[in-house]
Amino acid sequence: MATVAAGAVLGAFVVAALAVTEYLSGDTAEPFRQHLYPWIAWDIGGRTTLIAAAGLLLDPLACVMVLVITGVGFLIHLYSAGYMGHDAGFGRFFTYLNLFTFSMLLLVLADNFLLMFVGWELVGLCSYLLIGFWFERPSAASAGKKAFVVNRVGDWGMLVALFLIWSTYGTFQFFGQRTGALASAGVLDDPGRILTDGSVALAIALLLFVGATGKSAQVPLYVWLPDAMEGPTPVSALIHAATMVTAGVYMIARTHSLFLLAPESLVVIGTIGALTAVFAATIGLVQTDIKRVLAYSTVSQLGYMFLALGSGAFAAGIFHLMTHAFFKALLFLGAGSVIHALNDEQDLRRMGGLWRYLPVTGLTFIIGWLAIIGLPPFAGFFSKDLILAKTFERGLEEPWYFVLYGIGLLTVALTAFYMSRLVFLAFFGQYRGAMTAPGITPTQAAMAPEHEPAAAVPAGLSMGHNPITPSAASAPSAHDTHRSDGHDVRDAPGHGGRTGRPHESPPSMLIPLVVLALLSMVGGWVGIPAFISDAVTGGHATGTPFEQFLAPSVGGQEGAAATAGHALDVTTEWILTGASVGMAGLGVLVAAMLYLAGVPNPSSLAGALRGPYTWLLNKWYVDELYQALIAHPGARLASFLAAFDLGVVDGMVNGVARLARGTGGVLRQLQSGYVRGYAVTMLIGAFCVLAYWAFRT
Amino acid sequence: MQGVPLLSILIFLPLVGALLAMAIPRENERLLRGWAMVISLLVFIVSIPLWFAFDPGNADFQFVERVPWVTSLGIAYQVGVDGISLLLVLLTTFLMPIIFLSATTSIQRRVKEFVVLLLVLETAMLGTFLALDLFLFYVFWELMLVPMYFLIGIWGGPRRIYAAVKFFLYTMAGSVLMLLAIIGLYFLSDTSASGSGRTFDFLTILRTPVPSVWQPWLFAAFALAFAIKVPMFPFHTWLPDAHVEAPTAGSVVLAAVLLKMGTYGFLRYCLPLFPEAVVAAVPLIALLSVIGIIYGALVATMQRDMKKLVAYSSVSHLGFVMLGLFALTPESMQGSLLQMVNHGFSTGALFLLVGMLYERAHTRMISDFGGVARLMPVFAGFFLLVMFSSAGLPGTNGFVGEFLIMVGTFQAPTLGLQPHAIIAGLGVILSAVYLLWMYQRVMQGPVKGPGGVAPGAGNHGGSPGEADHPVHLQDINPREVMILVPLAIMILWIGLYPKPFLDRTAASVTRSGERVAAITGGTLVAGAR
Repeated sequence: MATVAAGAVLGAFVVAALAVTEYLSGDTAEPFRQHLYPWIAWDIGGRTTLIAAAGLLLDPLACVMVLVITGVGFLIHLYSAGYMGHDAGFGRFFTYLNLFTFSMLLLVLADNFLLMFVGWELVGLCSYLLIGFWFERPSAASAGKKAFVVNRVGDWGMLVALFLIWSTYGTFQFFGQRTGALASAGVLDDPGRILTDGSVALAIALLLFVGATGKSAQVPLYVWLPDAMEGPTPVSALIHAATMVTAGVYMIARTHSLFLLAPESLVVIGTIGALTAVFAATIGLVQTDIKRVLAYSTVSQLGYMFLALGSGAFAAGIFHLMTHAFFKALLFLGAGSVIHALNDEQDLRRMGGLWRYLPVTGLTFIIGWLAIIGLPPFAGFFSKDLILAKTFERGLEEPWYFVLYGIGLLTVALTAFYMSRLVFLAFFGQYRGAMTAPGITPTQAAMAPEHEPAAAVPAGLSMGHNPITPSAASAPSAHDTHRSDGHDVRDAPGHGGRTGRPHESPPSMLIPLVVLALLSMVGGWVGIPAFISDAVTGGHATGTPFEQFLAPSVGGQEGAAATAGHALDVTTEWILTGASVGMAGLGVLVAAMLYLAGVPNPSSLAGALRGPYTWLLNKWYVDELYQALIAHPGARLASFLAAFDLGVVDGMVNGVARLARGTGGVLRQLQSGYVRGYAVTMLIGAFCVLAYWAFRT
Repeated sequence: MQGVPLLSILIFLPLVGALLAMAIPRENERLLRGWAMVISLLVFIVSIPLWFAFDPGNADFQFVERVPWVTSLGIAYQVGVDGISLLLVLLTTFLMPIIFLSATTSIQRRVKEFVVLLLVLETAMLGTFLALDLFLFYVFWELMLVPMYFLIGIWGGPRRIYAAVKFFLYTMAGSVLMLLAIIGLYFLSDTSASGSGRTFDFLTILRTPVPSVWQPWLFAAFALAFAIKVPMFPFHTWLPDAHVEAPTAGSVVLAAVLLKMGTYGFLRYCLPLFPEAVVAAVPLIALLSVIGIIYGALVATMQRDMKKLVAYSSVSHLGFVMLGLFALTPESMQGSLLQMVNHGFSTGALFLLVGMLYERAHTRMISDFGGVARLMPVFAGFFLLVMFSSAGLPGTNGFVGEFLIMVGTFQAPTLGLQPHAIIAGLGVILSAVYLLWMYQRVMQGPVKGPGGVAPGAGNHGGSPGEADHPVHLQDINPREVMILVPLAIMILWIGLYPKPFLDRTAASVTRSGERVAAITGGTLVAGAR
C-alpha cells in the first residue's frame, strides 16, 4: 500500500521534473498553459458564459512549487511507510496523503483563481482529515475541526475578494488572451479594466490577504496551526510545515500584480508578517513539546515569508518558502524520529543526550538547526538574509520598513535561541527520559528546564479554557500515539511501554532525513546574493540566480518597482549580513549558557520571571481571548436563537392556531342544531338582501 | 419521440402503479416492495429521454401536450417542460427508486399503504413541475399534501399527529390565498366585457401583462404560499417538526423535492408574471433570505437531534436559493436552480444517512453517539462526502451552486445586494461549524452510546428509551451502499462538471427573468459583460 502511494508521488516527481525540464528548455517568458474543459460555464444558443475553466499552467513559480511538493512529498511518503507502519489506519493514512498531494498540485498548477480555490479548499479538507487522523482522541478531532473552521474564516475573505474580482475584472484567469489576466501585467495594461476606484483594488488585496492569513497561519488566524500538531508527525512535516501552509505565500506571489495595484496593502502584509514572526517566536521560547516548538517556529518563519512579500520581494518570499520546506520538513521528520525512538515521548524535559542513541537523526537534526538559525552556508541563511536585505532596502523608501527590519532582526535572535534550546535539550546533556538508560533518572535531571516553579498560578486566572499553569505544563499534550489496534498504546497493558533504550529509526525513515539534510545544506546556493558572487567572479549580477529564474512569474525587479534605484551598496550588504549572523550567534550563545552550562539555571530563571514566563507559556492567552470574544458569545447567540425559534417564531404560529381554535369554539355556538335558530338567521339574511336591493340606487 | 405523450406517461405511470398496487394482497410485502421498485425505476427510465431530447438552446416549453378539460372555464390539461422544470423532474424520478430502496427496512408496517401513497405523491410532484395550466397546477399542488400528511401521520415518530396537522394546515393556509390569486389571474386573462377568452392556460397568461395595480396583491398571495413551502424565515417552523417526525422516506421526499416547490413557484410564476412587484419585493425577500441563511445555521448549531440539525440547515440552504433567485442576475439564478437540485441530492443523502444510523441505534440524539467512524468506516466515508457537499466544499456540487449564487448576487446591477452576498458568505463558515461539530461528536472521539459499551463505562442506564440497549453498530450493507453511490456520483459530477446541467437551464432561466430585468434596467443576456 505504501509502495503504491509513495510510488505515485515519486512518479509525479519524475513527471514534474520532465515537464519542468522541457518547459525551461523553451521560452519561459510565457507560461505553458493547458486547457482541460469548461468547468463552470453554460451556452445559450452558441454564446458561452464562462465563469471558470479547468485549466493548468506551468511557469517558473509553478516549477518551484511543483518540485518542492512532489520532491519533499515523496520523501515524506517514504518516511511515513516506516513511521506509520504499525498503525491500524495505514491505508486510510496514505489515501489522505495522496489526496493531499493531488490537491496541492492542483492549487499551484491551476490557471485561474477559482480552480486554485478548489485546490485551496481541498488541501484544507486533507488537513482536517489528517489532523483528526486519530479521531478517537477528542483533542485530535477538536483540532481538526478548529483548523477547518479557522481556515474558513480566512476563506470568507477570499470569497469576497473573488466576488470583487469577478465584478471588477470579469475574469478569474491568471493568464489569458481573451479577457486580460490577473497575474500578468495585462490587468494593468488593459485600458478597459483600469480601476477607477483605488479602494476596490485595496479591498481585493486585503481580502485576499485575509485568506492567506488563514491558510498560512498569520496573526490573527494562526491559532489552528499549533493545535494541528495533533496529527501524525509526517503530516506536520508535509502539510503544516513544507507545503500547505505556504499556499498563502504562493497565492500572493501568483497574484502579485493585484497587490501592486494597491501598494498600501503591501505595508499591511509586511507588518502582519513581521508581527507574526516575532510573536510566534516568543511563544516558541518556552514550549516544552518538541512539535509545538516547531509549530510556532513554522508560524514565525511564515511570517518572514510575508515580510518578504510585503517588501515587494516576491521572489525572496518564494525562496524562503523553498528552503523552509527543506529544513522544516527535516526538523519535523527528525522530531518524529525522536518521538518514534522514545515510544511517543514528546516532552523536551524528558529527553537529552539523544545524539548518542540516534546518531543519524541527531546529525541531520543539527544540520536543520544550523539551516533555520541562518548560519552560512546553510539554506536558511541565504533566504532569510535576502528577506532582511530587501526589507531594509524598502526602508530607504518608506522608513516604516526599518521598523519591520528591526523586528525581523530581533526574530533572528529569538529563532536561534528557541531552536538551540530545543537541540540542546533533546540531543545534548544527559538523558532524562523514563526509558531505561544508563546513568540518570528523571528526578536527577539537574539541567531539567523550567521544572515546576515553586507556586502555581492563582486559580483565578483560569478562564474556562484551561490555561496552563507552569506546573500543569508538564502534563503531556498532543502526543503521537501509534495505534496498533485502535487503542492508545499507552493504555494497553503489557505493551513494552517506556522500557528499552531509545532506538534509531529504520532506513525508510533515515533516508529522507539524509536527503533533506543535504538539501538544507546546499538548497540555498541557488540564491547566493550578487554581492558575494560578484566578489568571487568579479561580475555584475542583478539579483540572485533564484530571483532571475522567477522573474517571468513575479516580475523580478519590476516586482520590486517601488524600490527601484535604491539597490544597496556592497558595504551595506555586508553589514546587514554581519548583523543577522551576529544576532543568530547571540541567540545560540544565550541558549548554550542556559541549557548547556546551566548559568543561570533555567528553572530559577523561569521562577524569577514567572509573570512573563506564564504569559508566554499560555501563548499570550489568545485562545482564551478568542474563546471569550467569539466562541462563547457565538454559542450564546445560537442558544438564544434556538430558544427564540421554539418560543417566539413557532410560538406565534401555534398562537394563531390556538386563536383559530378559540374562534372556532365561539362560532361553534352558532351551529346549535336547532332548526328555529337557523330559520331566524335565514330570515335576517333575507331581510338584509332585500334591504340591499331596495335601497340600491 | 414526436407523438409519444412522454410527459403524461411520466406523470401518470406512478398513479397507475399505485392503483395496481391496491390489487396486491397486503400480506405479500415482498411483491409490494418489488412492484414499487419496478414502477419507480420505470418512471426514471421514461424520464431519461427528456435529458437527451431536450433542446437546451430553446427557452420555450418542450414536449407540450394539451387536452381540453373544462372548456367553459378555459381549463385544459396542459403539460410541458423547460429548463426550469427539467432538472427538478429528473431529480424526482432519480430519487424515488432510492427512497423505495431505503424503505425496505425502515418501513415495516402498512407497506401497502406506503407504496400506494408514495406513488401517488410522485404523480403529484411530477404534475406540479410539469403543469402548464394554473388550475391543473393547483390540483397537483394540493394533491401533494395528502400523501405527505399520511406519510408523517402514519409512519412518523411520537408527535407525528401534531407534526402532520401542522404541516397540512400551515401549507394549506398559504395555498388558499394562492388559489384566490389564480382565480384573479383567470379574470385578468381576458378583461374584455364578454370575458369569453378567460383561461387558466399559463402560456396565454404569460403573454398577458398583469396590470400594475394588481401585481402587488397577486404576487403577495403567490409569494406567501411559496414562502411557506420553501420555507423562508419566519415561516419555517413547520419544517423541523415535520422532518423530525417523518420517517426517513418522508424526510427525503420532503427535503429533496417538496421544498423545491416553493422556490420553483417563485421562479416559474412570480418572476415572469409580476415583474414590477418582484422588483419592489427584492429588498424584503433578500433580507429575509439572508436572515434565513444565518439564522438557520446558528439554530442548527445548537440542535441535539441530527434530523433537526439537518432541517435547520435546509432553512439556511434555501435562503441561498431565494437570495439567488431575487438577485436577478444570470449567474445567481443559474446558481439557485442548480442549488435546488444540489440540495435535493445532498440533504436527501444526509437524511438517508441519519436514517441508517437511526435504524441501527433507534436514536438520533447526537449525544448518544461517539466514535461511530471506528465502527462504521464506510458509512463515515459517505458521511464525510455528503457533509462537505452540504458545506459547499469546492469539488462538490454545493460549491458550484453557492458560489454562482453569491458571485451573482454580489454584482446585482442596481439592487445593492453586495452586503447580502458578503453576509451569505458567513453562512458558508457557519455550515462548516454545525456540520463538523456534529461529525466530531457523532463520528469521532471514543466509541460510546448505543454503538457499544464504552470502554470502562458500564453504567448505561442514564438515558431513557430504546437507547438503553447497546446495539452493535454494523457498517452499512451492500443495499445501503447502492442507495448512497448514485447520490455520491451526482455530488461529484455536478461538482466537477456542472456544464451539462447549466446548459440545460440557461435559456429558460434567462427568459424567466427577462421581464424583471427590463424594469431594473439590468441586462440578463448572459455573457453581455
